[in-house]
Amino acid sequence: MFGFADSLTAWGYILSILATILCIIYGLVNWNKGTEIEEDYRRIVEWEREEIEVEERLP
Amino acid sequence: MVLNVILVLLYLIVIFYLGYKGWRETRTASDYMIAGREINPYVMAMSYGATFISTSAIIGFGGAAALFGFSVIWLTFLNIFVGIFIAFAFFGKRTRKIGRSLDAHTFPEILGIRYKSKFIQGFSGLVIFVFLPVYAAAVLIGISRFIEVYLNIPYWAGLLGFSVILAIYDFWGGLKGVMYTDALQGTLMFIMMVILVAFTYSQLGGVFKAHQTLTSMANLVPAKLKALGHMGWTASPKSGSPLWWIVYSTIVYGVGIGVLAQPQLAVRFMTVKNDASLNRAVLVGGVFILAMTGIAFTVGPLSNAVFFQKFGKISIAMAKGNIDKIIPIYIEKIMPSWFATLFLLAMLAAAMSTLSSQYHGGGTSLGRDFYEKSLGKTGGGEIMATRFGVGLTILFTIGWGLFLPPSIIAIATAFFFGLCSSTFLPMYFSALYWKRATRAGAITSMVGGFIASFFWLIFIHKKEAAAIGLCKTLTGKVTLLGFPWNVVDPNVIALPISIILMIVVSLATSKMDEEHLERCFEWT
Repeated sequence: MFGFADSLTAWGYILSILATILCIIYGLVNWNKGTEIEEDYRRIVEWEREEIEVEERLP
Repeated sequence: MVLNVILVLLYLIVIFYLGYKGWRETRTASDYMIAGREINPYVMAMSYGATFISTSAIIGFGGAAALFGFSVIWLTFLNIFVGIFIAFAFFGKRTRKIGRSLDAHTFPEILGIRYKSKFIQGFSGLVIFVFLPVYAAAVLIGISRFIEVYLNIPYWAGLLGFSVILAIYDFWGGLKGVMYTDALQGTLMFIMMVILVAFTYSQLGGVFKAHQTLTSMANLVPAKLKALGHMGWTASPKSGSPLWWIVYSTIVYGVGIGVLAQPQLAVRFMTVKNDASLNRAVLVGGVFILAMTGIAFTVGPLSNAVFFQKFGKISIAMAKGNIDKIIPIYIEKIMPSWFATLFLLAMLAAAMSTLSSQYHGGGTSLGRDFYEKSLGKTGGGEIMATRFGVGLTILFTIGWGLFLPPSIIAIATAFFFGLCSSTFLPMYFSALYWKRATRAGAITSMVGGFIASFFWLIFIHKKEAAAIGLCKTLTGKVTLLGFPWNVVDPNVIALPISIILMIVVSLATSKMDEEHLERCFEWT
């Protein structure tokens, strides 16, 4: 199949391409899903502050 | 040669500048917007992809594919389906929400707070700090082999020279501004890989013809590989043979599943603003990974046909037995010289960003997870501990890079991915999806998976057991069990053990308190 010696290997090749197509379709279909932020604004601010602190510690 | 060196230097200056600028802008942007970093899904996916796929995947696993054949392409399928689709659409969304509601900033931290255990955070931090350098070394070896072949300098000189440049880059601010340069270098890598596969197929007269040519070369497989179960480069290894176990249990399953519990990748999910960013990143990530590992695992096997047509030798003979040199030699001997220079730059950037993330992860694991949170020490020492951790991670990585034998990139990567999945995966998955999971279950799963993995490595898995020699000293036998067990990857045994421990111990102990669970799953 497709010039491969066995079908198992050919399927690995085909499924890799199909999995990419799945990712493309999923991305397009859900492009605008989940844009709202349901979390508490103040706690996200806290999270951001601490994240900056963690980074600041690096050399 | 001189022109190449100048190009490389110019490129490095640009990367340095972008790293520094990116770090400064990220800071001010975060301070300014505060509601959350506006990380573009393209940048997020590219950054994730560039951390996930580096020189180890392209040079190391591409080389392994050149030796073992197209069957390694199954890893690409898992890289895309598990490493992108499942990772982003399922693990990513929950990690982001739970990480933020628990105010967690590292992978060990999300586990530690979720299970209310300082031990979990400290143990995970230590495991990452101690073993991450082995994986980082795989990346460092990849780029150093490329430098060795392309600039024609000794391997150790390339390795040390590159490490010095990287250390300067990181201390200049590169560790902090990693995401910014990732998108640039990811794009460059993408273009180079597409050119690489198009050129290779065209050399062999098209897609089907190329595969057919390689199929017809099955008689050229070296006798030693045939004895291990190699059936040709377009065929799966003989069922149940040693090679079959290496390809499917270590490379495909070990690395393909292990990606879900990679600490340096999991933290990326927490920095995105909302679920839509992750949905969009699935699209970019899927295409990116196909172009990275899909192409590396296609060009790798096909390099045998191209080398044979031009030099009358197969790839492993061209590389004089070192798997890690196959892809660099292919680029140098077969591709046009402008391509080789640009490819080197893309690989340099890839290695720099991946290593920076790894050094960042190593330092934070020691400083924040182990020293500050697990030992409960504060008062300025944690900053020193983080910096000390980064320094030690760099030193250990260089040490492993110089010490590890040839043909090691794929094995070292598989080791770390396998260790992460048997130690962290059941506990991480349960942290996100299973409210009945308990602290005792998580601790037994983590420690049990870790011990099982190492026991198998030291006493059963022949390759490591023979090299370490502890089993022989203690029992007089190289391995405790014979074929096929001595070629079965540790992960095949350790991951199920870890899963069983997680389930059984959790069910046997009392549920975590409702109030805590409500806090954990508040935003899910």
